[in-house]
Amino acid sequence: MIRKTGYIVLGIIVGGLLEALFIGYDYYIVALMILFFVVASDIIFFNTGLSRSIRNIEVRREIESNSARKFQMRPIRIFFTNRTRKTVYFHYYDTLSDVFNTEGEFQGYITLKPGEQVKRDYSIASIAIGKYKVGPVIIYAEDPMKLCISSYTAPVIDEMIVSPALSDIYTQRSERLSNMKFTYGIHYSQKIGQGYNFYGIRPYNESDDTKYIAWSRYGILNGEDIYIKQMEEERQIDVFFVVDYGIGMNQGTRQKRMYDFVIATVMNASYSIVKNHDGVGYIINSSKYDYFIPAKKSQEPIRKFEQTISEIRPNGDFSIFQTFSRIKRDVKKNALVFVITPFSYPESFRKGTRKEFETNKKVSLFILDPYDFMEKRKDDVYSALMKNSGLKHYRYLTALSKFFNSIGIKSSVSREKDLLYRIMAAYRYGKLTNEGA
Amino acid sequence: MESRALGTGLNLLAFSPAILIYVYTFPYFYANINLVVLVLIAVLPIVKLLVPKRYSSNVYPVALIIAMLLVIATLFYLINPSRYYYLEIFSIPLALSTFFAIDFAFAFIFIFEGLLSKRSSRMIGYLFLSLGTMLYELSIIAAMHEFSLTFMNALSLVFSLEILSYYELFVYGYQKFLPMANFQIPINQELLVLFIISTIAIVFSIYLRENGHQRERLGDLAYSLFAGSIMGTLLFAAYDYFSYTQYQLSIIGFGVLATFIAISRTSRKEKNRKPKIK
Repeated sequence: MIRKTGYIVLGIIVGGLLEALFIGYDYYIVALMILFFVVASDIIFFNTGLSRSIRNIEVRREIESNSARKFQMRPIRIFFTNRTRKTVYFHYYDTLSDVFNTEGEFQGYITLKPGEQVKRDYSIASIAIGKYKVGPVIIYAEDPMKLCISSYTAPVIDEMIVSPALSDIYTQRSERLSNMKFTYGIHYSQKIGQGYNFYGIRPYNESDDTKYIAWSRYGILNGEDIYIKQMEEERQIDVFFVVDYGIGMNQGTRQKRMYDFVIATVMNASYSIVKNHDGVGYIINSSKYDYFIPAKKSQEPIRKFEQTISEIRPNGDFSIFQTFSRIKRDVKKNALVFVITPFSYPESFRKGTRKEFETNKKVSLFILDPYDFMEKRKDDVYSALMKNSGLKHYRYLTALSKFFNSIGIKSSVSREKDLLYRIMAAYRYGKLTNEGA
Repeated sequence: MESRALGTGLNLLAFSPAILIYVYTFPYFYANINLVVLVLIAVLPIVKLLVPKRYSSNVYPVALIIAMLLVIATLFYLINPSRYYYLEIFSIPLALSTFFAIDFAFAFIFIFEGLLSKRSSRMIGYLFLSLGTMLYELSIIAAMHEFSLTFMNALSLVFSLEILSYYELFVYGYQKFLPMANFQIPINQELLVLFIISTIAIVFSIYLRENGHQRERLGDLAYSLFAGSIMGTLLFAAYDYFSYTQYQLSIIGFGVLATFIAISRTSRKEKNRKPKIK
């Protein structure tokens, strides 16, 4: 394929040739004619030779494993085999998402003799969770004058499933004392009433069942007083995390992405809750995704959540009304529901009636402030602009939060540094007040 | 490229015919050049080089806008001088000296930019742009020497011959009055040697600018040089042979057109197979 530069050079030469012909200067005519044909031959030889030969290069990729944790290096090998009868030389690069850090020869220059095979090794490590394509391998060659370029996309594409790094989900490790800091002292919730363990006695009311009368305490004070035995039972609660996985979650910089941070935080909170003998379940919601993972008092739903989240990336729109109707429909048991969303694409809440927000569950809404995920620069003008727009957005989110609080949904604006604390505080409050029980 | 100095040296050799023509023709035209216009335009590449890099790409567009404004001011002044008398200060003098100054200034810009260019294709482009700009001046000097004419007479002669040549081409389809076909240029021999040096410098420049992949590239370039030289010489021989029929332009036209067709036919973009995910 001739480049624009090629056409420009040929155009200039032909223009010069025409001028030389009109003037009739022979030396200049012959010089330009030779140059024109040298350039033209270069282009034609390239188009009929190397440009076609690179299409017969056989490319094969070997990946040790298609799944990895964040920051985990995965070695990759690419084999190039020359299936032509000519020596070919070309540049190559493996198409990789910007989430991958690379080490080694993922791009370079190769010269291959007929039938020769070469191997190139490199490693990739993802800096974000999700499913990413590795490939295709692009091969391209240029003519000596760099007037033409020809590229060939070798149809080899693999997928890499990236789950959160172990360092991100630190609460998974039970030996860390700090993992217990949120749940210290709230290992069970009590409900006083009928149950299995004796709790105490209280004076008898007319509405009490006579079978619970503590006859051993009958008349202990004045000979006529009757007491009722109170029993207690330990109740375990279920916590449902509703994660907005719309495209609005895909914000941030290369180093710090919102969805990545939210997933790590949710998983940390989940491990803490599970270790406190409560159940966790998940709803991953957007117009493109609708995953429901039922709550269980084990690590199984967390693993399922991790697996699900590793295979998708934020996509589609998020609607709070649809999410609430999903909660109403699927969360059968009375549970604590934590909805986490940045409200990147706001809906018209005024249109919604109070009924649409009713879920009969204890819903806590965590509105995520995107300011921490904005790119920070030393440029004064840029940082002033960012601060100003960040403040404006924060005011908007605070207003949203007030609106939700006014209609009976606990809501708060969270930032990167306090999302986990807010989730755990809401859990602790729910646990102590038996909200989810 | 191994070093910047080597690159500039090769560019200098490649541009040697253009520089020689410039140095040779300039004294002849000195008296007929508006030096203010020449300096104002010719200084642009130097300004571009001196200003901070972030503004350097704006130098030529800004100069072009100013030039257009000056042209508009000149036109307004010429249409109604009594009304737009205050535009006199901005009006460009519409004289021969201005046009020669613009011509020489452009040639200087092309040579200067070409000498500093890092890419071979760009260098070739600037070389032929600069040579093309000065060809007309060279033919005037050739006419002065051939017929011992004064500058203005030689200018009129070359201009008339060129106009006749265009007229013949468009009306009869051939050219008879080619100004330089029969004139002897005083620096003919020197130019011939410099054209050969220039061609060698261009080839070396392409070869050395290949960042360490020279060995493989040299083979392909040699084929192109060989084939191009043969085809160019053959076409020139045909041009020379058919010059008595005055259809030489048609011969070259067919040759160039056939080459362009060959380029476009071989430059078709082939579709890639749609990759499948494993």
